[in-house]
Amino acid sequence: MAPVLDLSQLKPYRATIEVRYDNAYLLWDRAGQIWAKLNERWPKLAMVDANPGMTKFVLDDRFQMVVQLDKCYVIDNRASSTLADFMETGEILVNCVTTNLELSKFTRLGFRLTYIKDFADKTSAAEFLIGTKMMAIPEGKHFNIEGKVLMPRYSLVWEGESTGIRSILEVQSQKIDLEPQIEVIDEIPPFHVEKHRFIYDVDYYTLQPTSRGQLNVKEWISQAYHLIKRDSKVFFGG
Amino acid sequence: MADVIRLSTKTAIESGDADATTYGDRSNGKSKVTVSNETIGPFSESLISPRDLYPLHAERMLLSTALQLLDEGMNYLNDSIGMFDDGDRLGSDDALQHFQALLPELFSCRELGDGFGAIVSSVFHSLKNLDGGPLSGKQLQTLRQIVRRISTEPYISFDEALDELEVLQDAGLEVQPPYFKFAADLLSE
Repeated sequence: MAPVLDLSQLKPYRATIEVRYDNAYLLWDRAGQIWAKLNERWPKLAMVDANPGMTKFVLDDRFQMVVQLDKCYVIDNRASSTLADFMETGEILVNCVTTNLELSKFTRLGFRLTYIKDFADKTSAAEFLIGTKMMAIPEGKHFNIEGKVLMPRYSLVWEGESTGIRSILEVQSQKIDLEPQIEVIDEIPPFHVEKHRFIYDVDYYTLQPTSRGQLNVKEWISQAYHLIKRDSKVFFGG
Repeated sequence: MADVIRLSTKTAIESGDADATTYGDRSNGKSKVTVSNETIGPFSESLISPRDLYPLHAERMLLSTALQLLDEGMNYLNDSIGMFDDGDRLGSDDALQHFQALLPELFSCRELGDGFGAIVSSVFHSLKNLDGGPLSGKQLQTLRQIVRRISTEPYISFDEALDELEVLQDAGLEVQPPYFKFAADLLSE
């Protein structure tokens, strides 16, 4: 039987590339050098936070870039279906960090991709996930509750010897409340919104170390992305 | 219950799973990301193989061709060293010539990276500069070590490749074509 769910029903939402390494203490000498070089490439790069263990920048209100003692990552908060901008940005950051911190080995590579589908309420979002028949959902009265499932979550880790994948399907509700200070409340009215989403969150990662000479960031993301698009359906029931 | 994000205050969004790739925050610096560094399963120190790292290598002509040729080359070099150790110098040289014949095609995969191209080119010239002469046991071992390096690290950086070329030169091999030094002299005049 064909799976009830497929990726064409969802839209890409967020993509992350993260590389981990053994503590790179050169960060304490070269954090400024790294960001100065990246700032040459991206003049709109804006600093968000900087302390000895972590530096964090944002580009175009879209990409979050973080360099830490033991890892660096790029998050694209508006991932496109081709991931072209994300792959290019990720490659530039990882290569810059690798060169400046003189990294020779990565302990873990991770590529995490989140797809979403918005719903008007959490019941519809839950019904969408329940409709995939991937979970056994009880009917009737239990725990003395004549209830219904509202926030279902299905997750699994699928690992081989060298790579693994963590797949999560879940429903999330978010409530956003913006309460401006009383002095500016005439200019900025309070803002309240609730979002109800079905989320497919997939994390593809390595379990064995990768040397610098093995990693081509674009190629690795491109292949991981292709695998996710090709094989996700096996986790979507059917 | 719904997550409540108050934009005026800091919030913590946890990935929810140990060892997951960073999920990130939703307000460009106003949130905090908490990620555990626990690892799942035993940590392996051996490097991942290129075929595992790039599972679709068969669909990528360049990488696929390079890995296949390098595998073949490693087999010839292993044979060559084995026969050299057994005293079969003729057989050893024959296997080395088979390896040498793969180098032009390997060079055509140089788009993989400058480091890859530099190493293949230098190995080619090292053998050509011998003008048919035999390699010593040490030179054969060095050659195998370098070919193994690009078999596991096809995207080797140019700087790291230069280190490998020094190893070749230390083993007594001339890695540049003979006319190169004349060109260098001309340029410096």
